[in-house]
Amino acid sequence: MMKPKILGVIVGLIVVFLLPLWVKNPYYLHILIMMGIWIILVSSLNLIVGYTGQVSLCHTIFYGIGAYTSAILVAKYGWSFWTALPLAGVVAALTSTLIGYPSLRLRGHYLGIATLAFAVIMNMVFCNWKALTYSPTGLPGGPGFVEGVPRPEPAFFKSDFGYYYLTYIITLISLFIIYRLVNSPIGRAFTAIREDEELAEAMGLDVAKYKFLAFTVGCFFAGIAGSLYAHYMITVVPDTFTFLTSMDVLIGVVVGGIGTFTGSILGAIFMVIVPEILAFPFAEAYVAALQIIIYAIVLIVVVNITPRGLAGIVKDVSKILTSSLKKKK
Amino acid sequence: MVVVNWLQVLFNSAVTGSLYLLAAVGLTLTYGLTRFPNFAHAEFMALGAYAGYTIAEQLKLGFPYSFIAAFISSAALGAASYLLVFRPLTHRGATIIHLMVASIGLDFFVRHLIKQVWGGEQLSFRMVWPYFDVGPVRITGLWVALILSAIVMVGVMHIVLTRTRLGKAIRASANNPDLAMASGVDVEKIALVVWIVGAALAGVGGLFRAADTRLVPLIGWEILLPAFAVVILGGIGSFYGALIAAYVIGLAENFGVVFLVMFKLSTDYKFAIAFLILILTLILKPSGFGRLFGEGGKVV
Repeated sequence: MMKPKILGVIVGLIVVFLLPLWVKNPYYLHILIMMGIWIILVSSLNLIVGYTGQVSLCHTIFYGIGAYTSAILVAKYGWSFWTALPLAGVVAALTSTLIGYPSLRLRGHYLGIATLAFAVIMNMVFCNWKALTYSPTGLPGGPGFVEGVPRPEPAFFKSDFGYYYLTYIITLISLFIIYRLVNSPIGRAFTAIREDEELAEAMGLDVAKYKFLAFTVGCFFAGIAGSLYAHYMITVVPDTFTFLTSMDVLIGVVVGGIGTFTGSILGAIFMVIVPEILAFPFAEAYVAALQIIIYAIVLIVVVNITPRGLAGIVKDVSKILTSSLKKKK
Repeated sequence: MVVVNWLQVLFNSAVTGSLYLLAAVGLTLTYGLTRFPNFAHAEFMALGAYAGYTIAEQLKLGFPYSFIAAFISSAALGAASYLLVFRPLTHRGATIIHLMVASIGLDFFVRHLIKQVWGGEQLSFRMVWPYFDVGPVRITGLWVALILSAIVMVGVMHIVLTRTRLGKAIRASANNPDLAMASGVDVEKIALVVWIVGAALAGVGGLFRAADTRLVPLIGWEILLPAFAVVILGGIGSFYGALIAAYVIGLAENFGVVFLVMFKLSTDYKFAIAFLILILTLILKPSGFGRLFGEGGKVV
């Protein structure tokens, strides 16, 4: 019999491949695409926060830098999406050294506050560097943008149906790379640093190097997610990339389960679906705030009940199931 | 060339500094005691501002009553959030990340509750403040009240911190909670007192900001971000550090705006000044001014 883990991955892949053939509603398709983008965002932040223990509140800034890089290169300078996509990641990773390198000495909440400050400053740059970002109307808007940020070639990807597959191919590649990374000696070094930085250093690990590596790689994938987002939404506005959305990504990491691989996926699904579900019963605008109030309660309760997040719950439930199955035999 | 009224800029710095001081005192003390940045502190300010608005504008009871309302409502919110959210969480052994995320959740909760009650539109205080000129400096009654509140607060806090058993217990708990507990200090009770007082002062700060500019649900966040700069520059947990840092940030922001205008840059970058100071402090000297007073800045 196959290992349940491999079975789970195969079932997951089949579901991802077949879902859009069954889901015809464009609204649901939109949620699924956003979910794919958020899976990259949350799991790349989990690499930084969950595995290496560095609190970062500026993750969506690199998401934004990826989005702007890709959108500007493609829409303004006519580059191909396929060269702009990796470049978006590279530019995001390079920019991340601006905060990643000087704050290597900082830990815990100190790092959290420093990245918060960086996020606010960078969002101001997005809002005020009008020559580049066309804020506040956003890209496109100025001269040189004929038809907005185009969907990538070939024509298949121009529909939402095709873009779903593009998103999930890139999501799966990203997940695969992150999975290989965290299960390699490098990943074990990350976890060692999270558990006890002094001990890791005493064991001869180059702590600064690994922290820097985790931060840069995480921001690279945030840039990739940003590029996917820009070409999906066809426009980029600075409001998407504030520290408040960074907090949403962090919430995804915590709710999913800090430092667990499946947790990031569950956390991303939670962050995209729950606000949408809550939006249904409160369609009228004047009670729309109730939705966020309930969301906040859910959040506090989830954090309170399970410090290990959704991944912890899934693990517990599956343990109970398998043990009860064994008893029946 | 722009003509600059430097004395006015100096006076404005004192006003801004006083506001940031009121906002940051609670933040730095709770940060020092419970070891995490409380993002819900923003809503302590917002609630105070809205409660004050109701008393002053909707019930027409005048500013002194709205001052009291801001103080009491924010104090109640501070007590509730410590007792219902953060104390249970620390008992369960939550990490910094959990506490931070919980405070963000609480912030969402309160902000949208406020939106629900008062609506999301911009509100403004209609009361007119007397103003007068001292030399080239324009002064309004509101600004005087703000600066006086800050001075009174500093005086009371100083006496409490240095002359009373409570103050001694607060300083001991912020310095070393375990040792304080071993010496018979009820650290949790002290923490509750600090949360209540800090939240109440924040509420007063929020009220002044709202009366000076306008009232929007995000008002707390507008002050919280520079308040963090004050906390870090002053040294986490250090009251006297925050006192100096608040006025340093006030000066930097007001003079910074003048230079931004001179160099034809957007004045939106005003807040970036506080944040630049914050990042530089963290990188160069994470203990801030705290070491000057032998307190705070010890948590790394």
